[in-house]
Amino acid sequence: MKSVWKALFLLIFLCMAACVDEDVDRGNVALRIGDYERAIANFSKALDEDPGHRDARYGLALAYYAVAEEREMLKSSTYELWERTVEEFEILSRVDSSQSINGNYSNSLFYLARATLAKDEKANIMSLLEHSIALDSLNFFSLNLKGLILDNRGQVEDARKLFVYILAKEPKFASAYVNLGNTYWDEGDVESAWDIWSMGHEALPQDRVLSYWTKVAEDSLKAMVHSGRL
Amino acid sequence: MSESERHSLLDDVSGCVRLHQGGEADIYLLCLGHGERLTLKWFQGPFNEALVENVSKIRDCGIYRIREFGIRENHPYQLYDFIEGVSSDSISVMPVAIALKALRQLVATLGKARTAGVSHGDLNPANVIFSRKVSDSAQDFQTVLIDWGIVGPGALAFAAPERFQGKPADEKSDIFSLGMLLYRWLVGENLVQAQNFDDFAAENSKLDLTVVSEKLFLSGRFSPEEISSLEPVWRKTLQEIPEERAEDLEELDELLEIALEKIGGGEVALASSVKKWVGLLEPQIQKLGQKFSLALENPQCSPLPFKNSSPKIRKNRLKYAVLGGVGILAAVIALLIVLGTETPDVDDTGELILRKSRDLNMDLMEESSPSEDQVPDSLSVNRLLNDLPIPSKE
Repeated sequence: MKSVWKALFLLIFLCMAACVDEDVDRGNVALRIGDYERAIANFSKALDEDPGHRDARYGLALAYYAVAEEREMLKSSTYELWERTVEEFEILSRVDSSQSINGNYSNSLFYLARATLAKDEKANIMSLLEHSIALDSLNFFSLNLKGLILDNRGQVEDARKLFVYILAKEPKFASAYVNLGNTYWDEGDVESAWDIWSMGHEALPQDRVLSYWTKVAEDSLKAMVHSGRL
Repeated sequence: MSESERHSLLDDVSGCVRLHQGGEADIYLLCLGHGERLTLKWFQGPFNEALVENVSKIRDCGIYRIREFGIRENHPYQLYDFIEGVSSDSISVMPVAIALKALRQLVATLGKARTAGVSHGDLNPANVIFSRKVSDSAQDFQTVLIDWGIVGPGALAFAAPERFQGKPADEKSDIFSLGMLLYRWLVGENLVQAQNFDDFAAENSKLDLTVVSEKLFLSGRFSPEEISSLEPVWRKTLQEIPEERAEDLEELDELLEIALEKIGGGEVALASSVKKWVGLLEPQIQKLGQKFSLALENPQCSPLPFKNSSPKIRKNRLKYAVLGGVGILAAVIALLIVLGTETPDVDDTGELILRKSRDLNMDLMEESSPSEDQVPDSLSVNRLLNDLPIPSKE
């Protein structure tokens, strides 16, 4: 009789496990096709059954991420959405010791940092960025934003090191060229600014901003030559 | 042809022992699935199928019961009931009364066959089996004639002269062979001993009957009464010209009966001799039976001369085929289900989202604005930056 009960419990457990997996699968399919609300519903349902279910937790975090990123395109406020996403990733990090979630978790932190800054331009987002970079040292978006903040704080050399690091790792990262050139431009070193921007323009001839600022610096240099300042 | 017609007893074989190899045919003892034992004669050349068909219709305890015959895998074969007995080939000599009684049984059997229009054509010691007579309460033996349907003269030492000339077997040729067979049984060796076909043909044609009696006498085993009683038998069997032999099997039987009466010493004496003979025969039969049983039980028994497809094996094959088919089908279905409904896992989705987010064309890059006061008047940096991705005031 005892073994019958054991078998029954085992059967029930297996059925429940199968149901949770089915919810996760459904949520995943919904997520991949852009049906984020349904994805959130299915992952949440799975988590109701098994709060520690790693895939359900990751799926829910990704679904929140997708919703927030979609809203990002609309240029509307995304702070709450990213806050929710990061919270979910934080919980996920407690049930997932693998490194596989780090990329998206790092991105979420970057987005939250940016959304925080958009909400309050005086907010200190450095800890978010540090966390993001700690999770993924190749998250150039976080590194780039950190460089801007450092530059704004007057830590120009530190900022430049970050931009140079980014360009060494990813020579197609246009924003790093722009920001690095700006650090020189702001100091009146038009020649160095032109060097950086023209280098970026050469690497990314289609980039509208680099093209423009290369032309600006070039014209400035010409004007300086004509005026006798150079 | 219906399924039942196609079915062969050979398909039911579960065990096999080779009894003899070489010559006109290989002989096997087969055991069927339900334990029945049959003898398979696996011929190297053809036999007279029409004759065998006629023989198979004769119901006589002196004729083997043919269960099946035909051609399988280009080999003619006969399948008949296994006879628990001893081939007369393996008996060295036998008492005159026993030999005469046995020969009378053969004559009776051949007479029945003759009525059915068939003659044996290959009467020789190897084709006569001595078995126990089971129907009688008294101990007795029964001769059984096997291997009908021979094509050709048969065993040369026993063949009638006309058989060497290619004539078909008939009553007269069988009578000649019976005479030769009787001599062999009595003396333990063939009357004619030659090396080849021509020598046998010549020797069998010029048999001197006085020499036959002389040989019997010289063997020292036969009394003058026995020798004289047998002389009419030789005279009516071992003649070159068929017409000089007994007119028919009935006449031969009468001669044998007379000889038996003279030699056998009456019914009681004959019954006693038979009992004694059967007593000698019995252990040999039992020994052979045990030998065959052991051989059949041996898992490494002889290989069959044909491809076996017994019901058990066929059933197993069918079972394995069905199971294999079902297994393959299940595997294919499972594969289709897995492949057809496979969804990438959540990690794959995470990778996809990450790649999409990290796309350098995405609007994630933050750019600072160069100071306005250092920009030439013709350029409005702020206006330009307003078109750039946020944030613009880092």
